[in-house]
Amino acid sequence: EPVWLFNTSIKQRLAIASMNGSCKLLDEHLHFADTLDHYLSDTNENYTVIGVLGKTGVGKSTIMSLLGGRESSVFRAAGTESEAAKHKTSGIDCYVTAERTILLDVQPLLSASVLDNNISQSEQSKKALDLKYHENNVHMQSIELACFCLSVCNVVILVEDWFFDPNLIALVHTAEMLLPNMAECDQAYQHRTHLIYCLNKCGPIAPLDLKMMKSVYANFMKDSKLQVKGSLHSDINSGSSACFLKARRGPREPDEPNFVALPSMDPAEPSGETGGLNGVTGMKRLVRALSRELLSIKVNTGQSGQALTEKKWFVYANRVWDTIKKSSFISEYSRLMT
Amino acid sequence: MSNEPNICVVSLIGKSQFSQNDTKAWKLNSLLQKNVFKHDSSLSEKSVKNLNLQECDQSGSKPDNFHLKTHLDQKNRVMYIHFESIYDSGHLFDVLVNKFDEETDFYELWEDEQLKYVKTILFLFSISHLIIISNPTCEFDISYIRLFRIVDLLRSKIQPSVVELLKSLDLSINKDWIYAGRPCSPRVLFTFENCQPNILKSSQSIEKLQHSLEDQIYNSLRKSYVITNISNNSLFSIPVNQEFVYIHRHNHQITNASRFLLSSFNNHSVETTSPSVDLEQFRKFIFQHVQTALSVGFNDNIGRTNIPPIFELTTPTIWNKIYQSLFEFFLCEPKTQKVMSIYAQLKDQIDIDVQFSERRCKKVLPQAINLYQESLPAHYSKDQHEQKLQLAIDYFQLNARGPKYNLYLDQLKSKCDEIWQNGRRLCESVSLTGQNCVHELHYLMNEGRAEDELEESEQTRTEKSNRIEENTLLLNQKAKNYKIPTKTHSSGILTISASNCGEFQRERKDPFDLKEANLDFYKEFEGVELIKNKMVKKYIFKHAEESEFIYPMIHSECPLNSKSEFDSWSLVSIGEYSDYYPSSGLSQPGFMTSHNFLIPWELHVCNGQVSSLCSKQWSKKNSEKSKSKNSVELLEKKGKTVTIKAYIGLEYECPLGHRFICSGPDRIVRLFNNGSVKDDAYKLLNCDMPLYTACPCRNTKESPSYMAQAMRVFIVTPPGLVAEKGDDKKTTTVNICIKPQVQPNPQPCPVFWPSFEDSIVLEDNSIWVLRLPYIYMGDDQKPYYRPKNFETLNSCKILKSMFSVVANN
Repeated sequence: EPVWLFNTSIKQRLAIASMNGSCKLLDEHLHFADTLDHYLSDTNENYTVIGVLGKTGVGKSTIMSLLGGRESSVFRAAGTESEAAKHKTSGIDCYVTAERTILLDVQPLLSASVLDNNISQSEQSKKALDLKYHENNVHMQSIELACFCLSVCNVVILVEDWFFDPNLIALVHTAEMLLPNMAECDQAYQHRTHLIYCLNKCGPIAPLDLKMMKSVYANFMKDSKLQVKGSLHSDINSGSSACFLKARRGPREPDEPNFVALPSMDPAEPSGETGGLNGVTGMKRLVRALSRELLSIKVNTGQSGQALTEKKWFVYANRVWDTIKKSSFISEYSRLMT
Repeated sequence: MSNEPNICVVSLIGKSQFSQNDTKAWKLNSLLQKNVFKHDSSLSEKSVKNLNLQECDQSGSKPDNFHLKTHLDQKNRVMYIHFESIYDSGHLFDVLVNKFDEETDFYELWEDEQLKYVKTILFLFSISHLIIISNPTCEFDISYIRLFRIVDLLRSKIQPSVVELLKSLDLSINKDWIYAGRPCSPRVLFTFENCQPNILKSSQSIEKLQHSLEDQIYNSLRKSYVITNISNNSLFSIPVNQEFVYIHRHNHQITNASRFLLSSFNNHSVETTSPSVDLEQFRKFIFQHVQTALSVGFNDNIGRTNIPPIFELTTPTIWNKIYQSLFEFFLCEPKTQKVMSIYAQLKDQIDIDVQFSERRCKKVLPQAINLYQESLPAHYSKDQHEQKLQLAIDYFQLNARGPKYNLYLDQLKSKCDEIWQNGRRLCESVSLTGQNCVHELHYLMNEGRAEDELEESEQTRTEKSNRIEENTLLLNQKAKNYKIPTKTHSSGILTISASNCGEFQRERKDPFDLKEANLDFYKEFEGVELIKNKMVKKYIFKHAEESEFIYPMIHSECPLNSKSEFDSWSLVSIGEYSDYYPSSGLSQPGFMTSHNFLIPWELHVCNGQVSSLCSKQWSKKNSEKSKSKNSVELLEKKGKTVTIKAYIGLEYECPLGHRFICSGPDRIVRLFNNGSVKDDAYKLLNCDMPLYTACPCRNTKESPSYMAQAMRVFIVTPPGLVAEKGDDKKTTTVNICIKPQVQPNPQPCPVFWPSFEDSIVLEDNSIWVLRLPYIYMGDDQKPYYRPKNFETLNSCKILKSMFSVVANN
């Protein structure tokens, strides 16, 4: 009886506590936190995990909040503290939407502000760090976070607010190389991670330049096993709003790099609802389109891997983080840093 | 020349935001208040030409990859250098899009670009007083810290060579400069862009952010020992009492309208500061440092120290000479071994991914090879090789990582292949009975080659036999010390077989060659056969005299007049009729007790006609049960009939040499108590006989019985001249004929026979032994193996009507 089944699924969904704001998946000391478990279903296998990576103040939290369907309240953005050149998100913040999208807002990668914190913390505790140099420590931490995201997310959005920092993209390369061997785990969760490059706060870009940028991204990720192409229905040549993502029904272009350009939030028109001047679509509308795109990405669980329930995913994520922290690959790598 | 003023050298490096048809050089243009640095390749060529740097072209380097542009501002006594690198989108597009294709090895390209970048940075730090590091955002990029450390390490290693070079130039510059390898510890300034609009609203906020960044930068550089108290010892210095961070108040964006689809895009950012004000402030920021440089020089030592900082200025002419030689030194092919080895070490530090991958793969490779070798027999087949290789590859896949993965994976494959090829490779020839040769890959005697024509004969041999794939040659050449031995094949299986006549038995090696199996083995008995047997008459099978169709064996699918290369069959006579004693059977070795009796075959001669058990009526059972008209007639006839007795039998031979006669399909000859043969010849004459039957030698439940193969047909022909009982006393000559036809496999399979003769008329009064082929082989060199399952086994048969009888008056 389909009606009855439908009702139970509704009931089950209603039984899960809904979130008012984000909670921690990794706390500020990068320890795995239990809070999220409370908000996860032990029956639902139909969900998407989206993570975001990028440097300080590129708009990670803002984009994730918009993907969460809320105003900027879900994840706190760094903007307010930017006078002190400080980051806002420490560890990983997490929010589960009503559509069962698990959003992970990750602390900034390669961040000078995190480096600052680490230095002052180690001065307070007078504890010798494993690594000779603090910034190598931050680098390794960034690799670990990226490894984690690539392991547990279906979609990872790499955000930059300028084009483009090879060092950051190289970090994704490194993270992919150092991914933990989860095949040894009893609950192998095989999936292909989609990596989407998001150029945030950009001005208008000529189609030719956009094409170049996409090629740079695709060529840089040439040897990657991540899904860096063909995940989006984006079309760059759709008239005047050329440069920005434009959702379009139709077959996905298999070779089209996963590249999204988002304009700056218009301070004069904070709602971001109307199409800006000359057809440049508002930020919020674009993020909504992006959100639809991301939800329509086929989340495959691989040949052998069964779909995990939300709660099982949580257990898996915990194990991934433990494995990363103990990874011999990562420690071997860190010893090579001069 | 002498009144040329000294200059301050300012270099602009760093990363820059993508901007249409423009680079970060707009900053220098704004300092110059002129559009000097253009994104125009012809200009860069010009500036290179101005500096007479064409020598680089000749020495083989690619100056087009070094995007260094210089300009002398004579008025302000400043030499500007702009370095455009892969961190600037123009150059990035060029390297990663224009010059990139499917074949490009990304990591190689990336390492190369990084190497050039580091060398160029050190070059600029060795000739500049001021370095401006451009940041496209408002965050300090911590990846600079590692870069600085690497550049500093390179500087300390390469300094002696730089000092040598500067000495050799013999220029009128201070010795301090020469021995330091640089005019000063350059002062580094940082510029930031794209500040949050809400901060740009107030200059107070900007100042706050500026100070935060200064603190952050200073702190992290100090903690990582990039800057120290004594500026002479550091790669660069940071001013103690002057601002070294500038945040651009205006988001600079030169928009080239022609490149847009949108012709009038409006930048929405709130402009609190007009571009001109920003540029004015920027000029002020830079020029305060330039002024210090041109007047008192930099003293960026921290705390009390007695070591005065080195700070030297010189004229554009002298500086240009230094620039030229150092450019060549750093950015063209290194000239000394020492510098080359320094650059090699630098490579390791630059790309940790490659280094990690290299180490990881090097560690995993031997483990994977061990896994491959684990519990492998001395010689093993291609299948085993591939199976184990896959195991090793799986292990490698799980544990090896990174850019060097494919390289080492290939090594793993070729290494394992080499192990296999070099003496571990099983011969894999299959014997004609379907057994593998147990030897390593080897040559055969007749394929043997002289040592000196090794290479050539190898090739011809390889082409001759298809056992070796094309790549073998290559691999064998790789490991020349391994020589493929020469020996005969062996499956290690020995069987016992009797001679043509059946009088002798001998061990037989599992054959790999048809002639060996069906002719040569038996030929070796010839000598003893002649001695033992009273008379050995050999029947010569009649083949077409000349035939263009020559086959290994003759069978039903050969054209009518074809010939076999040699006889795989043999038909000999080993005695007279009287030499066979029906009461004791055949007295040949290997026969199992009481299974050595031939079956009597009565031939009835009447009126010049001969009849035998060829129809149902003659079956004993029937003749007793029904006394039909026919039988009465026959009984009448009987009075006039002369009966002569022939003896026939089909002999099976098992691998252990056991032999027995069968009287019918799977029916071993049986005796009455009195010792006479119980069976009659009916089945033998009228039924297809199986080619294979179970040997009674091992008839237990635990192990399957050995399969015996039909090997010989015995025909004892009675004296053929028969005097009839009739009144006319006429004589009739009776001859037995045979027409052996063997179908060694289920359909579709040809029927084998010794020759295209109609049927062979056997001489009378003899003991004839027809020896059947040991191996049946078709034209494709593939033998018909004995089937493994029982049902198909039954379809391997000797066709009925082998025996017949003819009478001549």
